[in-house]
Amino acid sequence: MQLLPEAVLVLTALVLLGAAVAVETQSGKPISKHAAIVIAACGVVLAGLALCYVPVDVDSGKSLIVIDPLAHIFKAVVLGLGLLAVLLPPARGEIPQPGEFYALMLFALTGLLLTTGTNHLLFLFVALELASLSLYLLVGFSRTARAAEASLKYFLFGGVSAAFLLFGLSFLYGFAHSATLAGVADALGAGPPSALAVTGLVMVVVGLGFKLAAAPFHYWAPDVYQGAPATSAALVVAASKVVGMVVLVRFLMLGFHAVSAAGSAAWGGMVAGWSPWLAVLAAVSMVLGNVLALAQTSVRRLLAYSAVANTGYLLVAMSANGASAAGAALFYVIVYGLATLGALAVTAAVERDRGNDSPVAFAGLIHRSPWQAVALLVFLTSLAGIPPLAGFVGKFVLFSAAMAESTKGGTPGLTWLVALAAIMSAISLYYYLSVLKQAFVRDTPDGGNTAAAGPTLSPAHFLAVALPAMALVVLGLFPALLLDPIASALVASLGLR
Amino acid sequence: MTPLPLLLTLSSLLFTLGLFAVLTRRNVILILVGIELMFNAANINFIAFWRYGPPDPDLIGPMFVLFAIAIAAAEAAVGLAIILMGFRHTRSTDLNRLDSLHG
Repeated sequence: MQLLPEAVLVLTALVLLGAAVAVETQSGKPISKHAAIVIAACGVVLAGLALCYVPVDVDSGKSLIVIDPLAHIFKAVVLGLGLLAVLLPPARGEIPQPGEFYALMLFALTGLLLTTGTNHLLFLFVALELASLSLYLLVGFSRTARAAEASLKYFLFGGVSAAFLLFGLSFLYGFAHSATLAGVADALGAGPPSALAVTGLVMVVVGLGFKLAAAPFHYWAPDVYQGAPATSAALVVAASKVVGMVVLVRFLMLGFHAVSAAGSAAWGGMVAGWSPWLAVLAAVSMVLGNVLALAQTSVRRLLAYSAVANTGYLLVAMSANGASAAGAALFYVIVYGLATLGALAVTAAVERDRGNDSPVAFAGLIHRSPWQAVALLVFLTSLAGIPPLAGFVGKFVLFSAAMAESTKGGTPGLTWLVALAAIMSAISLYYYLSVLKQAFVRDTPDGGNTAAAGPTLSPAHFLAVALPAMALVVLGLFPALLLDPIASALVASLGLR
Repeated sequence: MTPLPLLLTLSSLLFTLGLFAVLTRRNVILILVGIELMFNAANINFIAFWRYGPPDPDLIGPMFVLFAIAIAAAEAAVGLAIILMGFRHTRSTDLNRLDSLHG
């Protein structure tokens, strides 16, 4: 029963592969894009229904698979984001073999689902690799030179980070003689952290930093966002990032909570804890991401650097090392995933209409397609953190929780980092608004046919834009809908208060 | 003295060697070889910690190694497929030729 959603996804993928082979032998042509999307979307929806029947339990320390409340919430979130990515259709002729493409998409989702629900190091590594190997292929599926290059870079960086992760895990195993996060926590509680534990932790954070596109490990991100088909890019930017964050929270809050317990967010704690190190990563990510985003002439690359910057905000909360900050980070990463996925969906529509994704291509979008322009407004202002959208609530909760957690002991704590985050967030307004200015203020360059039919979107593409926009508005007005379950799930799953 | 420190030195050397290959080589096949070296350095660690650590009835160390070998093989297969795809476009395995994407 525990693996019902994953089983549904794998079965759907096999059905899809079978159907693709059957159609191709019958008619000599590959299965149509629409049929593949319908089958894959049905599979994801069915997996969501199956998730309702999975018994929720806390970690007994014995099983590899743990469906604790945290895993349950995030499996639902990953399936939701995965559904949006499946619905975002590829351009005409972009994907030569839709059957294989969507089957791989379902395998990637299976890996991501498995990754959210485990506290076991070996299982975590295997699940993460299942997701990663599928994602490398998905990025390169469109057989253009750009996709091939993006996929190769993603693979090379990903392979090195997987090696770092495995090497780090080997040290943790050597340190704790156990392969569970609880075992690592016990070993750390027994005495001061040895060099083995520190080396292991550093290597694991490097590996996860790649997944999250944190600053020194972000080089793959702009190329993947730009070169990949929009469908696979959507899965990478949203679902994979959310899952990376869940894994980081489990690692730091469950396995390494003890190392940093004594308020090591203060600079004096430099030797003992991981907080200061994470704080430096956060600062570098925020500065580099925001500054480089200013110079981009491609909206997809702009979104990639904004992803680096947003990872910085998330790491600010993680380095505060507290339950409320971790909850805020998990809320923010969901909101961020929705907004970026939506922005990417609009960008894909504009790209198909105008031939490129420079900000200038957005000029006059409000005349060509008013509702797309309004949706873009929702996504980008949410990313920039303007009320009343969910991005504002997310940033507010994130920064205030980081501040409150880190100043508990009366030390200035992370005040400097939160201040830096607020300044960087203000800078980010510039590049988000410059895209919106094109869409709302400028006219379409060729003038003329503005009144004529704008880009008409397929129903699936419409949903991929409309659903995240609605979700962002609803979460902005009623953030407690998601914040409260996450907070109580953290208490129940990881024992954090 | 147990040979554990010696084995850890060996694995660290292997890992560094792999990382060095990844950072300095321009040929993607050789980078892939470097990544495999890094994976195998981790495998040595697992076996060393298992052999010279306290008794481990669950055989976690060897389990890790078996799975890591399988994953490294899958990774190499996927990697070679991607490299081949890139080769069809550029007719080369040189990383410097891959520069169509930039900001």
